[in-house]
Amino acid sequence: MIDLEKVKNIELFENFTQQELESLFEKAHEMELREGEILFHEGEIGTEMYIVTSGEIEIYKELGVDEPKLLVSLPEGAFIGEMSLIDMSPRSAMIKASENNAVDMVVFSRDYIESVALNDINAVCKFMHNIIKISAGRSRMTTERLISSRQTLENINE
Amino acid sequence: MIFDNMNAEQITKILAITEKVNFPAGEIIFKQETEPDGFYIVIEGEVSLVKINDIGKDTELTVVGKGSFIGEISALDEKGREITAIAVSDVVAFRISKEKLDIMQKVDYPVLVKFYLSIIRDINEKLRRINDEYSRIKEKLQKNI
Repeated sequence: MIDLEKVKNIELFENFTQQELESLFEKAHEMELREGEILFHEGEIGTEMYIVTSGEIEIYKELGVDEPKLLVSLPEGAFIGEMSLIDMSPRSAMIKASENNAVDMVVFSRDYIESVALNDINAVCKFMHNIIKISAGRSRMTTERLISSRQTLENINE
Repeated sequence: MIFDNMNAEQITKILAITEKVNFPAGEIIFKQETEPDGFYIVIEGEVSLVKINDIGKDTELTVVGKGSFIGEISALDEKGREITAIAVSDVVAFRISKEKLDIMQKVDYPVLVKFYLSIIRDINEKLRRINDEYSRIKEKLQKNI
């Protein structure tokens, strides 16, 4: 089983009990990316989310640019693709392992989460409530940015 | 959309915790920076979501209609209202109070999970729209500099 020490401090699971962590991770799959290996491309359809348990990953913008543009690097503890897990939306960026390290990840597929729900629906509920809180935080941040950038644009146009 | 993947029994359970409310055109449904008392599902009409910017001016984020959640972000992350919602036309909505949602959070997990799924999808959809506009403005600003 996955070392729960590696996941228990991740924002998505921080209010989980030991028992709930076990339910959620007991049968979860792990995978590894080699140095520089691409996990998925922007625009691909996916239904899995990934939690990085070791190594650094990089997020790139691919569509509408001449060559992939690095947006951000994320350390272990990062999670990606939680929205695709829920609504099967196209991937919003390309993800690859940093050239400097291999990456270990836990994979949550839609089917897997549904199977956990049969045994411990409480854990799945908590998991989803946490996704809502994190999405809400992102939404608040993006809204703030939008409002202030609109203001800047207006000031320039005046 | 909201009731996607739910059976009749589950939909009934959700409806049981809602209360139908009406807002005439022009009325404020909730105000920025107030304490959330719950959230709404729009059944009829259109709602403008407005945010007051740094210089105190109202700026419209988006207009949402039938089938959209409003106020769900502040109700679920337990922070203050980040926006003001105003009825553009006559609006009919289902209100779900904080207390009733808390009760459901304790007793009915299967329904809650499905309900959460709808809410996350809805937040995500709005987030994409906001993000798209932000990227367009950012591009314009970069060209200006």
